[in-house]
Amino acid sequence: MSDKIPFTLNVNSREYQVSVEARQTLADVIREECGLTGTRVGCEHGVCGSCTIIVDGAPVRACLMFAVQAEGKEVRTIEGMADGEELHSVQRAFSDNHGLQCGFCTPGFIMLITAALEQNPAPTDEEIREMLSANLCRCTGYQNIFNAVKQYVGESTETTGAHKND
Amino acid sequence: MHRDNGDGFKIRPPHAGMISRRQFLQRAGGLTFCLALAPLIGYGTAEADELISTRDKRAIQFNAYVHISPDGTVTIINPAAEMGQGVMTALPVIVAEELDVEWDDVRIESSPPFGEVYGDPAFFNRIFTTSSRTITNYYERLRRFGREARQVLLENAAEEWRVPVAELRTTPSLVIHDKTGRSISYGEIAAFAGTGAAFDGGEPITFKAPETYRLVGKNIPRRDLPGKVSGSAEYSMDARPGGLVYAAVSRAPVEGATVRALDEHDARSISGVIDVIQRPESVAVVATSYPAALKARDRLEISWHEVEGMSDFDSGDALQQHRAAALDLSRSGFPWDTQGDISSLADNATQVYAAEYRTDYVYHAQMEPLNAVVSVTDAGKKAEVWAGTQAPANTVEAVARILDIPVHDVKLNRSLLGGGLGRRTVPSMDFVVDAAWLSRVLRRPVKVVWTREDDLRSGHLKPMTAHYLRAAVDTRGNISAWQHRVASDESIKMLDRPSYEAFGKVPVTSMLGASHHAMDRTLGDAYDLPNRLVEHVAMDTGVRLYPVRGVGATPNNLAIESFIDELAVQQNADPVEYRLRLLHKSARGRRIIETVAGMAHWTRERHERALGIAYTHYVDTVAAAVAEISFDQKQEKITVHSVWLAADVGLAIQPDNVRAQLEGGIVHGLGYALSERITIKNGLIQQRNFHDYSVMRMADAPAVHTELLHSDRAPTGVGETGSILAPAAVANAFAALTGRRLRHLPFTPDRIREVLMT
Repeated sequence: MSDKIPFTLNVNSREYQVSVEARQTLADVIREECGLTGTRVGCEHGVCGSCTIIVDGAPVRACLMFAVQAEGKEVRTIEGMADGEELHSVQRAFSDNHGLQCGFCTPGFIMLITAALEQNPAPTDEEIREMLSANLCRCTGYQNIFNAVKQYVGESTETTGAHKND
Repeated sequence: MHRDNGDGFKIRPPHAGMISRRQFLQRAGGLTFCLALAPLIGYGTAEADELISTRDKRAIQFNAYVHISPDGTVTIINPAAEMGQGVMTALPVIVAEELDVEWDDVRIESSPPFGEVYGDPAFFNRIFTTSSRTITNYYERLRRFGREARQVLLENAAEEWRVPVAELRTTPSLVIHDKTGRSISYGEIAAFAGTGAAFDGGEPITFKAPETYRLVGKNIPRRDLPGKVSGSAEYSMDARPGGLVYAAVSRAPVEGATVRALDEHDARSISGVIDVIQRPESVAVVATSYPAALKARDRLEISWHEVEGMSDFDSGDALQQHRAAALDLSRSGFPWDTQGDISSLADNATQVYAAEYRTDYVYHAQMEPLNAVVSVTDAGKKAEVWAGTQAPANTVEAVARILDIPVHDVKLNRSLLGGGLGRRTVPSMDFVVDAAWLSRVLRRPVKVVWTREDDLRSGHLKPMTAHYLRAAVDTRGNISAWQHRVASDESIKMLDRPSYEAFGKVPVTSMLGASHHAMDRTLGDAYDLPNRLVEHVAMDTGVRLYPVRGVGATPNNLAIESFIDELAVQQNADPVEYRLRLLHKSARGRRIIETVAGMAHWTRERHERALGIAYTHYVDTVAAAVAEISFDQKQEKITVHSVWLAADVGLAIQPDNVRAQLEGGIVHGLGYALSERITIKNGLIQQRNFHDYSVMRMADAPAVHTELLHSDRAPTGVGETGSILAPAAVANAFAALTGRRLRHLPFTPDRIREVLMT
């Protein structure tokens, strides 16, 4: 039989007792063991970014990380973004700006942006474009995603008083 | 004799006898009021009755699209596949507008997979969400269903109050009788509707005046957005019925290949593997987890029988053959669009210009890898399917066929699609049927997920094309004859045989966008080319082909719009002025060209940048785009800085959504222009994943500026427009910048280098 490794996985501040094979990716475990299917897998090679989640504050391709590597770390997925019915402002910015169509890449983009902007709350336009280039979207042409980021940056700099530098 | 098989071709229905037609409608969209009161149920299909009654047993079915519950909830049925284009909101908006219902009272539900009333009349009354046609083809029908349901509500209220119908009006979700100051909600009417006297109706329908629209044209928030931003939206990949197991499948590397030898020993040794199951054209590994299935599949040793002609197929060689066929005027083509007389091409007194263009294979690259979940129950007699499909009837039939059970015993859950782009209509439903037969064998639900590599390896490609164009230009500079030869393999000929035959075995997807007339065969908004022969030279490749967004219209537009630009240069004419001349009979066309030229400041001098324009009237949407590019000699890289696009789409149901489609289409088309390319060697697709099949990323994406010119025409399609225009606009900008003409799509660095060196 398989040699499964039991451990506690912390996702969205909730503890999941999981038992996984050494080779299982974090994306697979989040989707299949934790039942959090909002994390989408588009290429399994870290190229498309659809599976981007946040691990200890950094954006991570969940298809490139083994689940066992996440032991003791704080994992955030799209399901952990909203506060009850209240959407996170990045989610709201996507909704307000029509920053999605088929929606398959959307959780990955939202997690990427959230992590990137926590690290750099006032990016220039060029920095936003570069950051967004990490992930693929087949539908939107990116412009509305860019606009969503601009809205979010505008809102958060207003509330934090951070300096706008573009 | 030349027959005209233009874009507005006649069709006859295929699939006859596949599903018995019900008598609930004499003709789709043209029903009379005898549908009304007593009793109201039974008006839709049995499937629809069941569908609705499972949710709300008190809901009254006013017609096939409108169900109203006594609590005031109005359920509107959406027949089309939601794959990101926003149609699950846009179609119900059309119904809701004429029904005059409060939008917050509306809930939306998918239609059953079958039923003439839910099918698309342009696709044999089967649901087929493709070809930029959904809004156009359903518009008239849906507004009638909405209006007629409202009429039934009015009749009921009139009966209840014993007042003439003519004294009643509606405000959203309410029927009002001004004389007596009474009002009654739609829900209250639903509570007693069905017991009144039958309404005999018969008056012609009066639709709302467009200036009174509250929903159409107002950007109603898309109903799919909340779930998509919260992560709760469900794609088929997310279905997890109890007892689910996972399969990875090795499929025939080329169409028709079968397994010659299989060694499954090592695969079976992987922990978690449940079984290895072989069919002639595939080998499946089923395991308790998807990673285990993948790992075990890697250990399979499979050799395949060769398919004659395919094991040495090389896409480069094939394109040369396409090119030779296009150039060989002794090889007559299928006449697709003919008018007048092109003999002046042979007249020594006229100037004759000729040019050729080519395009490579491309792949769908929808973001969600293909997948499905199927649970076969009742000893193999019934199946439940979770699939994201653009053609639900094809899906149900494919599953029924492989299980050898009646279609009515297949229940389809129509999932959201993580992109479709044409791939998910294929009648074989190759991404669904594996889960079905595996579930039957194993007697438990099976999820089959394709890896991106699977998706590419079994890609159903947009055909490669070669074009040869000739034009005779008279002494006054007019085009006195136009010939356009398209050599390609028809994309539905092999893998959608029923449609191919139903369309009369003509090269229907190859030649879209090549005709110089509107869909009703009038000149419409096409260039005035009174003497023309547009023909298709059929190639047979054996390669798996299928329609991909833009279909033949992308290569055809590249050829036409590039050649028009080359002719303009020959005449020392400005490309915008030249097109205005060719559109002298189309006020709409000229308005679009003038608008986009204005948006782009066409006549302004640019430093180290240049503009190129392209125009299309594909599916009667009149649109033009201007691209502004620069070129970096050292990196051999084209940068697209801005694209301006003007479009007349008739009535825009959801204008913001229309813009989103156009913008996204432009960037998709820029991928076609600059990087997207499939090559085949020894019969095998060479590209593996997004690292070598390059879809445009944000860093390379331009600013896209879109302007909609509204007109009072019925809505026309926008799903493909941007992807059709972008390559030609870039090619024309490159020619304006460098004086050199790019003729082979995509415009990769090596091709650019070659063009610049000659």
